[in-house]
Amino acid sequence: MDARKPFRSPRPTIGLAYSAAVRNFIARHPGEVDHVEIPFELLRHDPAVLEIGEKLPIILHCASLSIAGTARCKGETIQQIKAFARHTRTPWIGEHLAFISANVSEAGPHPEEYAPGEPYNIGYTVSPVMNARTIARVVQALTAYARCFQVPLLIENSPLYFEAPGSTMAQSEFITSICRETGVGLLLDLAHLLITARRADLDPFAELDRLPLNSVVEVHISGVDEQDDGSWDDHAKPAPEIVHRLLDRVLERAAPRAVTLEYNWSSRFPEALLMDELGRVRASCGTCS
Amino acid sequence: MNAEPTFLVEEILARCLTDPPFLERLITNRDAALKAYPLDAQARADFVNTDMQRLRRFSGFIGKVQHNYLWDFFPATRRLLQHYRIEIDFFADYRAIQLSAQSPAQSQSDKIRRFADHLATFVAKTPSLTGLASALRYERACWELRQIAPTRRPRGRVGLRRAAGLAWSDFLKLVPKCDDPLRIEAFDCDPVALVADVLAGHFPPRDSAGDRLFVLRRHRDQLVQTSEIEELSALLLSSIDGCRTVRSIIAVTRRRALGTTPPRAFRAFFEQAADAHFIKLCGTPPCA
Repeated sequence: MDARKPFRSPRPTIGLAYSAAVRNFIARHPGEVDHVEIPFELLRHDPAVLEIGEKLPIILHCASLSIAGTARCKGETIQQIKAFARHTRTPWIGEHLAFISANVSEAGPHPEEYAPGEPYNIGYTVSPVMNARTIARVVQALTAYARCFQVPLLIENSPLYFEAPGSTMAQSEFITSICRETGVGLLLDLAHLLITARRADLDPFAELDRLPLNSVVEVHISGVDEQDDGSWDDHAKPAPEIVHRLLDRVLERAAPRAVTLEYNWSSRFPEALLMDELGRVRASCGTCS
Repeated sequence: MNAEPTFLVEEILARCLTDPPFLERLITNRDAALKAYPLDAQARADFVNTDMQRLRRFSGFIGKVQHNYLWDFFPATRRLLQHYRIEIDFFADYRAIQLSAQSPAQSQSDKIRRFADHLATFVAKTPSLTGLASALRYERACWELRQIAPTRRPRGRVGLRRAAGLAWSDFLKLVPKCDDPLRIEAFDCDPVALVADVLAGHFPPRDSAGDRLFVLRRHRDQLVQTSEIEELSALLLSSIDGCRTVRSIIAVTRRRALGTTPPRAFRAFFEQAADAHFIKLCGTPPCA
């Protein structure tokens, strides 16, 4: 069986981001899920997770390439991603438009250095400085990775929790420029979009319309944690109503090949709720043109 | 060295998110913290306009996400952190400990203990967080009980009927042993009801009603049974170490309290504890 075949369907496949609870859910409810998305970082830590590929097609997700960063990803890591991409037969690799590490300059003071000789490893993807210099660097990185990987790389919009100093443009402009210059596909995370829009007090639907929706290949759905100072990503909560309405808008204007529900931060995410969410997304996708 | 502004900005941001003392210095004295970085005037001005408290909260958010594994063991604690809207602030505060090079936590168990220690200290400083200290302590006790490796069942146990029929002098020679790991903890409320209320979304948790003693017992299936007990029972149970005889346990207890209570008055406790399967009465001859 060609593992990529389901992704060629005219309607998007509906999948879940992997977790141990999701693995159990898939085993108990065969047929409810079309694909499973697995982070490369988890596979590197626990290759046994690949077993789920016997049941469902896998989409490889990644947070290690640091494509918007100044520090380059290690060659060894790139080779591992390549190997997992080949092994999983993923149709694409979704990667955050972000940086996860940064070089330690010799000029900088570093009395509390955590890992001497190593770059700062944040352990979480961070939205980069959004300016022309970063665009040039991302274009260069994407061009190099296009030669390196046998499947396309998608870029995922990051949640913008704070504006990096030196940024000169809005995220929509930043992403549009990169998509236009490279033709790269977009992994549109609707919770991230909502977080970014709310932080800047912008209308999320208007921000959605500013993105290059014809580049959208995959959509992420997840929850949002509302705090006094803004919204925060939360994969332990169901998507708020507005995220579903944003999905409906995407489906009116774009033809994503996959929608992935990221409910992978809590083993206590209620199964009945997961079923409801899958049903709701499937119904939305079923009515799209 | 590369003084290209974006390189330095990313480096400083990355350092803020991995080096909490540096971030604190940046918050309190931005110019001094940035002094060694060859930023141009524009980049320096951009940092002055950056919301560093927001960056600190983002660092806390990263710490929170990196601790997602905790919530399988501390679900009510987490719900209360969310209820009091202090989850991100707590993790922002905890970040310096999480990333400390001086005391790195090696295993997940180390990390859980370190988290629970720090949260207990944090909560102790904030008495308005009703229920959080008890939920944390109860869930921690349950988690610690589940970490204890199962032991072999004690051999040479004496049937209840047989123990009841033993002469007092033979009963005193019995050795009470706990089949399953036990913990005795004091709470100012019923912790089982507290956790159930919190998980059902009933806030604020119930008011405290003085110190009450509970025995927590981990069964072989990892379930933790929690029962309220009297002070004397707690004293007796806490003296059972699997080696002491009934005689020795009574003597210890009488030295610590109830010195005027006749030894035979304690027999009912041992029989009832054995009846409730908290302990097994093991014997040497003539019981064996």
